[in-house]
Amino acid sequence: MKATDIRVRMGRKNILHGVDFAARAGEVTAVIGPNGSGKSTLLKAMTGEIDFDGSVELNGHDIRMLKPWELAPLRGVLPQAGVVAFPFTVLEIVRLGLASGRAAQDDTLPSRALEQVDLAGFENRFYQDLSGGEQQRVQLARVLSQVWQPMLDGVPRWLFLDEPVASLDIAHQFTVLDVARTFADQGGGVVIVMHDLNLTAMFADSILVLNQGRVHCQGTPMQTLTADMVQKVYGCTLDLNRVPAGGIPFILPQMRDCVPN
Amino acid sequence: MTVINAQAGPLEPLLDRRTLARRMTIVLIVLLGLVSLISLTQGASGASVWRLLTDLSAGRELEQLDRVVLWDIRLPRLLMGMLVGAGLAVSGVVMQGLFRNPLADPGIVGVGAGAGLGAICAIVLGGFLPVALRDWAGGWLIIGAAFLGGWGSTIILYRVATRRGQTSVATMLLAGIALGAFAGAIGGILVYIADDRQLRDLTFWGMGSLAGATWLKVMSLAPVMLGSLATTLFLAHGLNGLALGEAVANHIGIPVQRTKNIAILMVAAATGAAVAVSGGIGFIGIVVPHVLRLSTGPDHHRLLPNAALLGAALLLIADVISRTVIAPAELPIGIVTAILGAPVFLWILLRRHGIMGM
Repeated sequence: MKATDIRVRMGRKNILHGVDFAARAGEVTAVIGPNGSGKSTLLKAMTGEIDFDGSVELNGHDIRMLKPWELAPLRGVLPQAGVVAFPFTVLEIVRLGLASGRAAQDDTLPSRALEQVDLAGFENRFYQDLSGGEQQRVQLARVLSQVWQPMLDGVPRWLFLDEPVASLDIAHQFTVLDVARTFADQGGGVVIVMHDLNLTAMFADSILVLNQGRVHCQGTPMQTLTADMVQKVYGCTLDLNRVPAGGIPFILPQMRDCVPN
Repeated sequence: MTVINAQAGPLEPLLDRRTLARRMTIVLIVLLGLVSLISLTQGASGASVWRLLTDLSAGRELEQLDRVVLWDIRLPRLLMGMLVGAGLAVSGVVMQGLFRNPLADPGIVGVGAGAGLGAICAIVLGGFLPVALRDWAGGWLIIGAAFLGGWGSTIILYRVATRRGQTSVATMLLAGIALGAFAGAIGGILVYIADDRQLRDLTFWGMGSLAGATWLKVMSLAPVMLGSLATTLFLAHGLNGLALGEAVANHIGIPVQRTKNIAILMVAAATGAAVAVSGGIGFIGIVVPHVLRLSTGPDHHRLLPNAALLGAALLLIADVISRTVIAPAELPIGIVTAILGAPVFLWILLRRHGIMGM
């Protein structure tokens, strides 16, 4: 997946100022940055949800040349908030992901997708009666049922996830990130907007750091998650350490001098 | 498939709702058949279908009066009632799906207000037309004006709410309120200058009736209504997707703008035609979708056909009541649908969790 010179303007404000970005299939690519840095806007541009200048190629296709029903089997998108009108059950919501995928005939697939996000047995619960975290996982199950097989006829499919762990407890944060990791390990591509730098360091293969609508840096967690980056992008002076095994960076928040940019 | 959930609360559906909705379709077909039979047998003339059927099966010729009552009065009225009821109910489902709002009904897109204004114009200003034109148009003047008014208002709202190929349903909702108020004001001026006979016509038109049903009206209504109803079958997946929001609908492969275009045109055609031939009939478009969503769920694949069946059956029931309760006179059908519909609607709301959860 390749995004070139992405520019997005909303009203009089430029949200993205020419962002170049690439993500590889088989990897989890995280997009991080402070609030308002343009992460979600970049994700919306890459999924064809909003108008933008520049180009986005997915598996070699310019996404603006594809119809919605042609794009849907190539990528699933999990937005930040999922508000559902009318009293749909969990199963009915997850089934909505099926129609555009090739697995539409497989009626057991929604239940398997729910199992993956630790919601087995929730099929006949009303979506509106669930907690925010459970609703988020139902939406992820819907996205998974849309692109169930990470590779289809040798072509990778993609998951775009916008802050998928924002409203989850720590166990389910791992559940969801494991799903993303497995999807990438099986050949699919994952682009994920994250806030938690430690989880990002654990699960991402590559990280894009955005700041004020521009690319601050892109590289492996070791290259990007540095005290200098945290200082410049987030305005925080924090202790950054490394896990003894594997040397993965981690940040231990402390009461320090922190002035958001 | 019976699914019983261990974690089920009091609101849990015990049956797969797809199965339930399929069973509901069969029940509604039977109901519509029964109601149709009752509708054909009941009326002021006293002509009995049983006697007619007996006569026919015995090879006896029908009396002239029976033939006229059955063939020229009750059958076109039955068919018109079915088409209007189905059109109003399905339009209600489509509007609520499109606006993602359980309170939306076809009136919201301005069809009702526009059609009403068209009818008022025809009734009040029709007298100023050349006599030859008036005689030529006859009863079609009001019908044509109402249909054009409904379409015209929809096109205005659509143009107002569409920017760079994207239609904002929220803008359309607000513009519909403004246009409704404007049409109401213009209508008010016309009512002010209307004479007593015109006022009586206006009042009865506003309360709705199937009394003017003829084969010609049925034949004119049928292509518009059946075409609109058939089109909605292609909207089911799109409306399901729109329940998750326009962005998600796009993500799962639904052509959102095309779905909105078709839905708005379908509602304008079906409601415009329904209001034009039968006047103002309320509550069918809002009660039917709610009853069905509560009983069999909001999946539009079953909701749309079931709404057509239930809407047709309910309007026929209301029609039977309207023409038998004070026979040989007739109660306007809009009064019957409101008297029956409003308490049922309140009962539904009291019985189940609040309206916004529907």
